[in-house]
Amino acid sequence: MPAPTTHQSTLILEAVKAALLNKTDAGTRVALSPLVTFRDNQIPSIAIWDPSEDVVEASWEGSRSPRKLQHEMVVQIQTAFKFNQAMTEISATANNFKRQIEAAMHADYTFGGVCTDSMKRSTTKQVDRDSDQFVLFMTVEYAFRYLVDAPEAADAQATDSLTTVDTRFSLNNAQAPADQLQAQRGLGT
Amino acid sequence: VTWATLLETADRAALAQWGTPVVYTPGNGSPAATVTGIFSNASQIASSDGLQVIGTQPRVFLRLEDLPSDPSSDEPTVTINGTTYTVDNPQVDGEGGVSLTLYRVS
Repeated sequence: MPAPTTHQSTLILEAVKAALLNKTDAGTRVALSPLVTFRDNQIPSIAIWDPSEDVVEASWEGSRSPRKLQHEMVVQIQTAFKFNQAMTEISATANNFKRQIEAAMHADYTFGGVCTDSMKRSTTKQVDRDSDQFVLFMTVEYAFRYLVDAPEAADAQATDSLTTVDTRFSLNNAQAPADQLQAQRGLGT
Repeated sequence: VTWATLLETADRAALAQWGTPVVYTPGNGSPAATVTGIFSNASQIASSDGLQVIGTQPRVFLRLEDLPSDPSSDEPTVTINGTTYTVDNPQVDGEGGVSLTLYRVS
């Protein structure tokens, strides 16, 4: 199978961005980047990135070939709000924005087929006081699962030729193992 | 001449030179007073992980004896150039001056 030109995790990030565009109060201010600087007139905006990814260990051990590795990729959706001590509704504002994110993200768990499943994992909030108003940072975290073929080793572009086959015959799967016929057939030259 | 007197003289000279009118409204119900303070609003960046929000950090320096309440125990608001701020984290210098960190109300 030819190598894909775009990594699956990139396709997932792009699908998340597409799902959030114009679906929240951030409008089109949705960026794929871990490093985003917001200005006053750009709040709220959304920054999306993928800080980590694991391969599910159980997918190492399957007997299928080619092996399919199940990945769990973490995607963080970050945003920020400004508020003042007098603005007691800041939690409601942040939670309403979170609801908009959830509504967009939960519309299609496979995001058009780029993953096998997706699930919200957590929401965290943090307040920074270094500004003319307090700044509330909110991170909504999702986990994405996707399957990929294990990549071929660079030094083994093709599998070895098939030369012999070991076979065992059992009539209707009813014969005792000791009575089953075993044979080896040579296929090569 | 004591150190405190020298410092007050320096503060008063600075307030006279660079001061701006500050409407100080006590939170305890006392009448508001217009005093002179040195206002600054330098750039400041709030950050969390890779996310940054560009803003400013307004502060004002005042002489405690000019104020109708003690901002360390009161919760005043101040209005400077038409913008109203709440006050947080009063930092007294121990010599009669106080620096207030300000947050825009709206």
